[in-house]
Amino acid sequence: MITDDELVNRVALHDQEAFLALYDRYANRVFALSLRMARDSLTAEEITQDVFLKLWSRARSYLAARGTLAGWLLTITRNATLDRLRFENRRPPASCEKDPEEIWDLLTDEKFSTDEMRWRSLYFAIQALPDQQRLVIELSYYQGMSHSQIADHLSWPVGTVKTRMRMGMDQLRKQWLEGSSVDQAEEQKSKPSKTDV
Amino acid sequence: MMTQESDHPSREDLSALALGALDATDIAAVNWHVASCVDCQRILAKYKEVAEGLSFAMPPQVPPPQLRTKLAEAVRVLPAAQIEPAVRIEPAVRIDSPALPQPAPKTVLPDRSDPQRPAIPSRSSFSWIQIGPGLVLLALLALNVGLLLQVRSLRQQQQVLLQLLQENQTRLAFVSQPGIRTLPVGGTQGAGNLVIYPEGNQAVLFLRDLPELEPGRSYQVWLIPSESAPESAGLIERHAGQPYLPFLVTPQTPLRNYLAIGVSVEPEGGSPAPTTDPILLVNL
Repeated sequence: MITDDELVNRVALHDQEAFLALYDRYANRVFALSLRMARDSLTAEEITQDVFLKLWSRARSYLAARGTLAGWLLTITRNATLDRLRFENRRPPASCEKDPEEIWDLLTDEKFSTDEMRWRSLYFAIQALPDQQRLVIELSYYQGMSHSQIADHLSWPVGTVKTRMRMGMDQLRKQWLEGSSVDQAEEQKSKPSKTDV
Repeated sequence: MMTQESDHPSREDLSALALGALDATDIAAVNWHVASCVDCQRILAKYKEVAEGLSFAMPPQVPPPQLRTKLAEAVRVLPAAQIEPAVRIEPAVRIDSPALPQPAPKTVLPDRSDPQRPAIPSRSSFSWIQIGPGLVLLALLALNVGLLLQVRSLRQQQQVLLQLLQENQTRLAFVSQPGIRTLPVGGTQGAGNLVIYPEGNQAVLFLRDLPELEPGRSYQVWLIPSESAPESAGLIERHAGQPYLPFLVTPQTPLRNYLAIGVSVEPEGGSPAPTTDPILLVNL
């Protein structure tokens, strides 16, 4: 299989086949992230188009040493979607209900690459978070809201938002990166927090 | 917010920084600390890994099939001239001007057998009378070299003074522009003002009461972006007798991309990242 780096180098020389190969490889990720953030398929389609046109015109600015191509494309996607939401002054409904899991549940593990398995495990780790912790993480990452904006939006004290966000991130970090359960008490002991729920 | 006890940012702040959720007022201070704190860098890296994973942590969704067709058409019609000349692949051999083998340069060796070559006198034929004029010539040559070095040094000083004059004239012209914005610069040592040009891509720091530094230390100015480590804006050069230290800030990207400007004490010659806390800070 041709590597991403080889394909990007060819795209930098305006190789259309290489471009479409990268599209086939990553369009479903770009589209999924934009759709997750914007909650609107038309917007997600436009963002996906913009992201890949940027890849076409700026492939040379991608530096493999600074991260994966997928990460680069999804960073562009996230920024473009946040810009779009801010421009439209639109705030998609924050979902407290869990996302449909059918797509991943229907696929057998054999069909997944190592990376896909990793992302799936993070997805399920997020779904396993307490609703309030998941909500603040989603509002900040997928809707670009700051501590204060989330506090205003949910009518919670800022300290509560901060603590729930930190607890959620610690939980994900422990479960996903370290594969162990969270020991909040130990965490608190190692570095006391200034805020309380 | 930084904790008073340890001066480390709280884990709440570090996790929020990774998610992009830290309030703008706190970003500069947290970034500043993280740039020089290995412990916080390690914690932040873990949070960032989780945050970056959030972009992938959802089931893939197939976009509408017509999008691929539209993009294929779009890239087909984009002009090939967009390829920069620097990366055009030239043919290995140009057909209109085939590379011809060039004759190798000839090395001309002195003909040792040249009868007209003057004979080298033997060492035994020198005398003090003969080398006297030579010594005088050498002394004159040394004097000339000394004078030349002095002139060069004076020229360099002149260049520095001209540059300073030009910079000061630039700053003067700069601060006399209508619509300039002035912000107070505060901190633990010294004080000053930041004057921002209306278009927002240049500014001048006017600093006063900065203490003399120990030998081997310099004042370094930093531009602090929202989501990455501080970027060096240069070193402040102190000149004796200057009550105000002006420093022209010319960032590569517009100033609106930065949250703050800070000054720290660094090893002479500057550091790639701040190694001490800022002594002066101005929020943009």
